[in-house]
Amino acid sequence: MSTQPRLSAGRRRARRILFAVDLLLLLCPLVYLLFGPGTQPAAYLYFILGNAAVVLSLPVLWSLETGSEKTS
Amino acid sequence: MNMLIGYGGIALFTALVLVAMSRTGRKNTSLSEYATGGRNFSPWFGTMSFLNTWLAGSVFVAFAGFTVSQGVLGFYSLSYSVLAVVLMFFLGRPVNTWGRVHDLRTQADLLGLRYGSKSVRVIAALIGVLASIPWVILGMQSLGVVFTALSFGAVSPVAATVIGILFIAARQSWTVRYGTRGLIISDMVQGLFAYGIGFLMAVGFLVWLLSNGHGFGDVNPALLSLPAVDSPVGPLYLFSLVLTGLLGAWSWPDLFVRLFSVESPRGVQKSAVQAAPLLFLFSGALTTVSLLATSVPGVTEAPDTTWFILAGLGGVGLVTAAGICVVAATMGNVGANLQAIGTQLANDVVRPGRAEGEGSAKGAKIAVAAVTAISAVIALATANVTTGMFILALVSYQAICQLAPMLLLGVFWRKGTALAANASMISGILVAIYFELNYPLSIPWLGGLTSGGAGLVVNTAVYLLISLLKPAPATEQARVDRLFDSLNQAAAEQDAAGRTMTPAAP
Repeated sequence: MSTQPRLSAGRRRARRILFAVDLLLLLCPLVYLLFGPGTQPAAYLYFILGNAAVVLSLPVLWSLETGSEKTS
Repeated sequence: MNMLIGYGGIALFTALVLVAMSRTGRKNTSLSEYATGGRNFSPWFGTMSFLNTWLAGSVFVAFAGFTVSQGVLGFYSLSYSVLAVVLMFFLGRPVNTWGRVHDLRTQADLLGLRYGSKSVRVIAALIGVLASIPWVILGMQSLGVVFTALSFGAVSPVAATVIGILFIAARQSWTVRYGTRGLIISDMVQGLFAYGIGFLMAVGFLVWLLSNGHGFGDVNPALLSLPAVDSPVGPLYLFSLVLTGLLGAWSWPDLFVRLFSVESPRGVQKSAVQAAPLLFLFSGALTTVSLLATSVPGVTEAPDTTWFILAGLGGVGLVTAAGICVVAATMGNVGANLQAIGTQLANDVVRPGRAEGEGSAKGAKIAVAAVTAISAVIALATANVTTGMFILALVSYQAICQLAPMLLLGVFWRKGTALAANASMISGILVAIYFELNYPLSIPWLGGLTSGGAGLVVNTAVYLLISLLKPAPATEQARVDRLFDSLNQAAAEQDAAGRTMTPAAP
């Protein structure tokens, strides 16, 4: 991304991958359809665990940039 | 006596907010300071400002009602909200930096800077206003529910909605007086009540529900399932709801302007890191409570009053606290929304060629009054409704998300052109309106996409195609290139300035 000149290519790639994984978890029909019908409350757990994982990705995104600043 | 306690609680809370605003507010010395609050708020203020603008009072009313009616599908709002925070993290640097360097005050300012086109501002403003009206109505309805509940039967829903509208009007006068600085400071006070006390109450309700025979085993199994591949709404329904919510999030002009108010790009990112767990805990608890409450007698008959039915179990004090939570959340959202509508109509639609502030204050007030009047008529006409308010939120998102392709691609991609932006917004909103009128829930032959989802497909395709097939003239492209290059320069300067400082921990 052109707005992140200070980040190394590896960190930029890691950020993009994390963002893609976040989108995949909460947006991809192939993922949420796995929790459609079936054992209850699977769909509830999908939302709670999926969203918790995305929430946890934010400190990782932050640390990717913080680490970059420390080494710059 | 009960009504006195209920309405008295709201009056005391309102007085507290006013005192906080007047003690910490200061005279706005310029329009820029009025609109951005001086651009010096810490990440914690940024966090609470985001939450209070984002989580409207309707989360306790209409969104809770949606979960009661549709079950676990109601968690879709948690998903798009959390993803919106992730997007906030990425938007922080470019938007905050451009805002600081070019003294941007509104979303329209950024669009004007990026595309160098008045027509982009006008079309975006019209869509923004069109999409915001249902949200204002929802705010008025939410306050109507509050003032009905706190009257304990003494005030009719219509009269309660009138009180709610007058309350919003009074709130607007404070907003005008204290500007964005006042809004952000009041967001902190309101947020602590709405999401702090609100979260504690939700946890209390959760404990009560689980210990009184209202566990997951007591919920109708149909409410615990997501739409399957062969469901009537279609397998892409949830995808479309989350996508339109995510893309619609940063298309809201009142939310977008919060990116300008925080002290630095890094501060915006820290606000996002802090907001995510708070949002998750609060929304997760509230939606879980709404889901489990479906087995409580009376809830399914009036889903939009679930929060107050549960609070009623604890007596007048708890109902009052529940009402304060809804009012606290509504005040920030509706106030910011009306302010954004007024500014956009006055500056970008009525007088698009005039400098901001040049006679715009009167126009903004007239615009706000007109929008408030239209919204009030509709809110009053639906004052007795206690179910299905949520449809207004859904409709507004189908419209507002049509700004997202040209807004987000414009921020992250330098090839997008003004012609592409105009064509994409117009095509997207027309497609969305057509499908909304013909398929209000979802479009079966498109796998369950909602009207806004279908609009986004056309919208994005048009933007990319026109940008690639008809690139901007060389001079315009050079201007945009300089704009993007200035981001790199600003980042390098920030590096140089901050090299001696230890980055703050999240």
